[in-house]
Amino acid sequence: MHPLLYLWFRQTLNSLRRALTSPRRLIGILFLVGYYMLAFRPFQTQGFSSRGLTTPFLHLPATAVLQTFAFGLFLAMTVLFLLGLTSYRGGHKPADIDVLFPTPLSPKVVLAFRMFRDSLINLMLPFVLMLFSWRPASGAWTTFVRDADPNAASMALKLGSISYFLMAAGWVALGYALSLYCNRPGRKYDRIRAFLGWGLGAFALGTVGIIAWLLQQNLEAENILATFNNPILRTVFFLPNAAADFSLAPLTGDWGRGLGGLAVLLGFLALCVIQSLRQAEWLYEIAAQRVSATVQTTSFAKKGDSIGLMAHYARSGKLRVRKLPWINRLRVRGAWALVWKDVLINTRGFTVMFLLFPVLGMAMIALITFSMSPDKRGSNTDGFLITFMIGMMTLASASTSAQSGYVDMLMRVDTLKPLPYSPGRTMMFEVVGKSVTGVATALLMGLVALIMSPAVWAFTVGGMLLGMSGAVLISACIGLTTVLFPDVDDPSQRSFRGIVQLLVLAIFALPPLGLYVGLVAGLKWSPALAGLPSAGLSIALAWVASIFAGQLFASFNPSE
Amino acid sequence: MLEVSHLVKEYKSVRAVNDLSFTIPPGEIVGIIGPNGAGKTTAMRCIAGILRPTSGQIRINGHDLQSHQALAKSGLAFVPEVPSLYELLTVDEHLRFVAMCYGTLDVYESQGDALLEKYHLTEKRNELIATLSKGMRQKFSVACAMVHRANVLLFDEPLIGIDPAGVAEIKADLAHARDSGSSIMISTHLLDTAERLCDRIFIVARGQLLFEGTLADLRARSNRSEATLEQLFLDITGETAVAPPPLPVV
Repeated sequence: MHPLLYLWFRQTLNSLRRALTSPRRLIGILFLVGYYMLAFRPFQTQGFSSRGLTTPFLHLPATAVLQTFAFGLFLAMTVLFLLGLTSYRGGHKPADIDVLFPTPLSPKVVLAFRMFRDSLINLMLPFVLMLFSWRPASGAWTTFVRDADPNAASMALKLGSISYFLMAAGWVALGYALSLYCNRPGRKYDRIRAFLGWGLGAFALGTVGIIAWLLQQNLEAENILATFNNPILRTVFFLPNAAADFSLAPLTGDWGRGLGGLAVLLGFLALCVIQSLRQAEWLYEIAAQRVSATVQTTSFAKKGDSIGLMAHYARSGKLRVRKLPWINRLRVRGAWALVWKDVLINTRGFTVMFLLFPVLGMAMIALITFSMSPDKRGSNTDGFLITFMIGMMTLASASTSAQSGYVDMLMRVDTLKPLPYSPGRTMMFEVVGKSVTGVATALLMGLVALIMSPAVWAFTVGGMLLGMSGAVLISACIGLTTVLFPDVDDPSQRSFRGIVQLLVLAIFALPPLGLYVGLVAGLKWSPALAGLPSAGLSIALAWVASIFAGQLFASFNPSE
Repeated sequence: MLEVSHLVKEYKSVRAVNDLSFTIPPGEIVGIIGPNGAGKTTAMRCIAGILRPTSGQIRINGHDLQSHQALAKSGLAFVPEVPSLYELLTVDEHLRFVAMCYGTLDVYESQGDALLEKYHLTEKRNELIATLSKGMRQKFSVACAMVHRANVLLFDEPLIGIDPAGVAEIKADLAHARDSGSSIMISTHLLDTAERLCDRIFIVARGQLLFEGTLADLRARSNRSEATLEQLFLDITGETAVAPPPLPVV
């Protein structure tokens, strides 16, 4: 067996084996299958029929309609391929650089294998589309080939698949050729890459824009056919035209055009493959540079370690480290230093994010107030909207900040555990530290609302109390689930953690929310007053979650 | 035999390797030492055929690396500083894959057991690379280099992260490979290792070869017969070893 085939085959097999033998990974897979069966399967089996799709075209010749649809489909794929043509290709791993590249295997062989593999992966695209839209698509197909010879219809589908594969393989090869040319080191190539990237993008989007504009003039079936049969469009996009001609030759009977289309597809593929293989000598150089530039950022991103990523950017000079003297000057004692550390990190590395949520939230409050008709200003609707906005923005802000904060906490366990505090106390202050962004968001949004809509002050105060205590509760829940599933290197554990996080958040957030709604809507308490016991309940629940998290943190060993 | 002639490697605005020329004949271990960013790893990656030299020529066993890449690389083995391996292959599959790439699968099938035994990998044979510890990975990477019987060996910091017993084994392997006629190039920060293990020393800084010769040559050039390699290295690279001031007693 060829070494590259062997590598691909064994890696795929071992990956599947590992996925099926680890219970945690298996849960992830089962979740995905269940998600498909519950969310998409009903749509596929009971969803809309092809009637709505085919009716406007039924009075037109079926072959003409099919030719138009086939061309449109291949055109859409061409536009998609065009958009990513100059971006770096390869997806090489660090192991390729260290193990594969120093071997005597020719870069041309490595490149050819990559192109073949990518072309096969491209075949997955129609498969995925079919998975979700098989019923309407097959219905439409049956409608238009109802009068045709079944063998010809079946042959057309097969030729369509071949056309797609040839076209996709050609685009993949052209993508590699351009990628290996444009991504060479040097300013000249930087300029070429930018020019081609923008040029091709503008061309592709311009084409889509013109077609959309022409279609929008008149949505009659005749106009749709005329638009897609425009000779200029067919000439410029000769490749999808050739693919459509070849695919539908069994139905149209025009084998001359069909074989011409095949020749164009094969010629395009051959030309692109030759061009890409001519650039193969640059494959290793470009891949090695790309991998060394991205290996660390990819690793941080995979772990969800945003703070590590920021530190990496700061080290490489891509991020200017901000120093806020007023925070540096703060003098705190004992475990409060953990909170101070979080404030410092958040303001230093994530200034934009730290400010984004409060600023966005304040802008939304302003928008709500100004867009509301004068008679509704100061009404309960206004108050509920403000409370809702404070809640949503606090949730977004607190959870974003906590997610990255706790991953960082797991990385710093060797620093945190020797501190002179019990694990429970450490966890409690970590929870407070990671909720600061959320608390600030709720507080600032509330202050803006108080100024802009003073009439609904009671709702605003209630929302602020709920938001600030909710931020602590969200932080505690995320902390609990993070130490429950602490393996940041395991992708299935990360995704499973996300699911459990939603569940834990729902379980812990429902009681205070329910209490607030019950007191305001049921017992007609003032929202400001109702906010107090609800906030108290939130803090109590956050405390309970922190105690659990602290116990898990005590037994957490990063090397296990 | 490894011959490097006027090797230059430029990145966007940086000349990482600047006109490097040397020859390592069969049966010799050469230590390439230099401060961080001196261009050692870049030079090694050019010789391993990973990076494309901006100019210059590299010949491995008489074959030009640019024009006869497959022939040149078939006699070469490269062990990187932090080896990145195919995590989803088992130890046996990984070695088998490397052997396939070099067309030496028959050799691996007949002598693979001994190789695994030698590097204490027999028990890990069917385990994924992902499960290996840092030290084991380093040893495994050396095993990969030995699988195809190369006679030009490039080691980038080969002894980092390996336990003392492992270090002794690798040193013995290197000495054995030298005695068998291999040309070996080792990049290292461990100056005492370079002093004890290497026949010749290259000192590199800012991409340039500042010194090439034996330790005796270096001492003679510096007129310091008793100086250690560390002192001579600091002299020649213009670096100084400054001890930090003592911390105040609190």
